Amino acid sequence: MSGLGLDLRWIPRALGLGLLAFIIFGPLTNLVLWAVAERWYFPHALPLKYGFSYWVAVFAPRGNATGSLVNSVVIACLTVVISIGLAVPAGYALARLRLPARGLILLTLLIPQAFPNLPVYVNIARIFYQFGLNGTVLGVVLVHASHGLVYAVWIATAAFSALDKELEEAARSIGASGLRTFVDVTLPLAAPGLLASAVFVFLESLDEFTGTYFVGAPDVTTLPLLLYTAGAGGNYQIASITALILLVPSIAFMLVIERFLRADVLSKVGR
Amino acid sequence: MGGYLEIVAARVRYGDVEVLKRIDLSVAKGEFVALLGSSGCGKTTLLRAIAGFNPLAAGEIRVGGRDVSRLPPDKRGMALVFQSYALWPHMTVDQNIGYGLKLRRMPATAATARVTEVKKLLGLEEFGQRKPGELSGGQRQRVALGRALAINPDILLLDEPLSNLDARIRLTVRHEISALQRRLGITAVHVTHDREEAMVMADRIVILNEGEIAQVGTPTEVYNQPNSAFVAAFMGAENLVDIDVRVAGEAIEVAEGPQNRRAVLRRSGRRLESGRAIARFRSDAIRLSTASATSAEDGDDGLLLRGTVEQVGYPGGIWRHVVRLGDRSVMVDAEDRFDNGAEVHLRIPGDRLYVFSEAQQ
Repeated sequence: MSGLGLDLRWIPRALGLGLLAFIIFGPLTNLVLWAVAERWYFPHALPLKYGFSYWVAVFAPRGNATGSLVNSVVIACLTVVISIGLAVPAGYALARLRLPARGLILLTLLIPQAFPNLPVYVNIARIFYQFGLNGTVLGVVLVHASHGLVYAVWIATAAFSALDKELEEAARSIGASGLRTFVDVTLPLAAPGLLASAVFVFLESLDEFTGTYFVGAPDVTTLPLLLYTAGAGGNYQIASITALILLVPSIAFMLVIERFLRADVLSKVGR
Repeated sequence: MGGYLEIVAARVRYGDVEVLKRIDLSVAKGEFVALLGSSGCGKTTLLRAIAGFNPLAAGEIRVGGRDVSRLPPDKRGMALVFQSYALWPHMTVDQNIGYGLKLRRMPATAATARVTEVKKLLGLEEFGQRKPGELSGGQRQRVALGRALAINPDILLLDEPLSNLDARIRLTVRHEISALQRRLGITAVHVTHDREEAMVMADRIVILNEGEIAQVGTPTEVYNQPNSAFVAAFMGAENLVDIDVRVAGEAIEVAEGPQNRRAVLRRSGRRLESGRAIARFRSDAIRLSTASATSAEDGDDGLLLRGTVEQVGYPGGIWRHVVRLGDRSVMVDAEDRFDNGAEVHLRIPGDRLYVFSEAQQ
């Protein structure tokens, strides 16, 4: 029967979807299981004892998690302020003014990403040491900003390029100065794109490990550093709980992107 | 002549290309001038130069005797209505219309009253709280116009504001805009590629061709006395025949040709030299008859052409014939239908015939 034939043709598709679901949700399940496992060792497929005692330990006043979380958030916020503060004028200039080496400037911003991270950060750490920036929040923020600026400038450029120039000209023609036009028309209309790039920079900073390790550790501890220490010490529960905490802003980011970043902005990234 | 808006020897360049080549134009206060031309003729460039968005490479733009060529757009006292309307999507209709007043620091109560007045003028009373995205094309067009009118601009600039509207709405909005302009006494410069729109709206029409002014005149002048073959063709005289002329005082003698009979036309101020010439005429300026019926009639101030009907169609009201004249064909409208292959005579009265020396082109 045709019904049976249809069912048969669904089998490979169902298998494919199942595999995809496993690839996506497998590690997540493992993570969640580890976060609530009290005792779990080979060859058992599932934890032997469940409980929240590690959560208590992580968030206990003596545990480093709360302090690291606060550090992470403060650093991420400062990074956003610096990156967006620089990306708004830079992105506007790249999008609107006829700069001769526009493509080159956009590419130059990518250079920190083009080289292997480790040697770059080791050198940054060496230079920062001379200025007394090592082990300070400012030092870590600067390292994160060098990283976040790329995304911020690229996305801000795209957000401003996607804006119809005539909307600004309409304001100029009925008497608004250049600055007034920027504040009243350009900025509000580019806000969704700028917001998305801010969230992106925030998450990048929250997740950043290598730079923080070389410039900040051991004086400045962030969540990824805590996760690394816990993971290296074989303490999978602490590591999983930290990872889950880091996951929350990522999901929030997806929702913001979905809500605010329009396709016409995305299509202009890098142009 | 002391115009209110004066453009003197204005040139605009994009890189090496000269888009506007020495434009001289004077617009009186309260006058409605249409810049008419096909796409790429520089009409929008000229409008944007007046508004201050295209810098002049040379020349001057004066408003009321004051040179504004170096001023930024916001200091020129003009308002531009864009083809795309360019309404701000994050503001309501009220905020869009009131923005110019906010910039001028008008007190809130006075500004609200002015916005209400403008909305009433344009029939937008109910839409104050809507965003532009929730309006139809015609309503957006009126908001764009209202935003420009709210600030009482010295000069209103319109960049093809009707081209995005349905054909039917366009006809009514045409009359609305010109009635409004006359009522408010605003000086207006209107860019369009639509001949009829320019004819019915404007006091004067400026026809642009490749960055130069081809002719300036009232609608009747540019329609009935085109000064060049280009203007004649642009104003609808698409039909074309080659003739030989000899200018003798106040008369123009047309020599007998393969398609035309010998004729004598009154000169009526035509600038013309003896020699090869072209004659242009509209499809509705012709009296069509069978070859045998008119053979006796002589061409006095009128041209008689001989041709063969090639095609007949009925677009409504009249019959439209395609008539072959040697290696050219012309369109002829007639009350009566002539069959395919019929030998016909076309008689064009002298005052409907636009003759230009071939060298003039």
